[in-house]
Amino acid sequence: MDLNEFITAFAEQFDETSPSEINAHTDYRDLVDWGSLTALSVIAMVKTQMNKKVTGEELYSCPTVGDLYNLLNSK
Amino acid sequence: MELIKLSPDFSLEKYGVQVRLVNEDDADFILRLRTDSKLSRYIHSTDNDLEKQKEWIRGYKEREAQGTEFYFMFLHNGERAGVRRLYSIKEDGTFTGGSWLFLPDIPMSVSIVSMIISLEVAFGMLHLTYDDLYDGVHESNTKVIKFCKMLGVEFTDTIIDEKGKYFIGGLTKETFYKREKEILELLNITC
Repeated sequence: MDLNEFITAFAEQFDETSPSEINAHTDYRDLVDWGSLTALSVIAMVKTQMNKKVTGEELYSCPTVGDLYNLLNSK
Repeated sequence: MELIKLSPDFSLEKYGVQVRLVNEDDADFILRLRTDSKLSRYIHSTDNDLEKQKEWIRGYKEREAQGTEFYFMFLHNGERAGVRRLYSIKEDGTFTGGSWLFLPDIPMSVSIVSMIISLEVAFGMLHLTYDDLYDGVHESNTKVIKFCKMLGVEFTDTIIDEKGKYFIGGLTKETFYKREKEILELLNITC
């Protein structure tokens, strides 16, 4: 999965935020509908679409979508 | 079946979360959660009145003593983190859940495992068999709808009131036990 595909899949986990607001530099933790249930959706998406694992702590410590993508690619 | 009663001193520690039953001293905390406009968008409105909240809890304690309702306070690192309630508990083994509200700044797994713990209590300790979501989930509450589906809730119909459309349905004990393992695994938690 390349970065653009990841951003699209990541943005699909948000219900109130427009996909156009999400790019590699977005601090998703500031988005209005970021929270535990969105985080769980992202964890599930990473598992099913990337076959990788990410923890809640990692999700909350990555500053941007791009940083999260890089973290996942390093696994 | 005869309703099972939990002791007023009931407490449990699981998945890094502590659980006990709500008491009158929790009124201020609950009121803060229930009157937070963002957190309480999809729950029934509550008057911002501490005395009324205490009075409501006194009434709840009577239902708790009868075994028809249990209001859980979840703590993380010994601090109040959020609540979840099982109510309309009936002798036919059905119940419903609600009042699921947590502080936004706690670790993401806390609110999710709290939902799971409340269902483990319902199906495991209270021997209930069916979570009847007769109150429904508002169609705009998409995150909760998605989470309910992850838990195995089957939405079967809709109801409409002045606030809009709600999906109604239910969750069986068997389905919950299958799905909870998958959710705990996503959270890196072992049963």
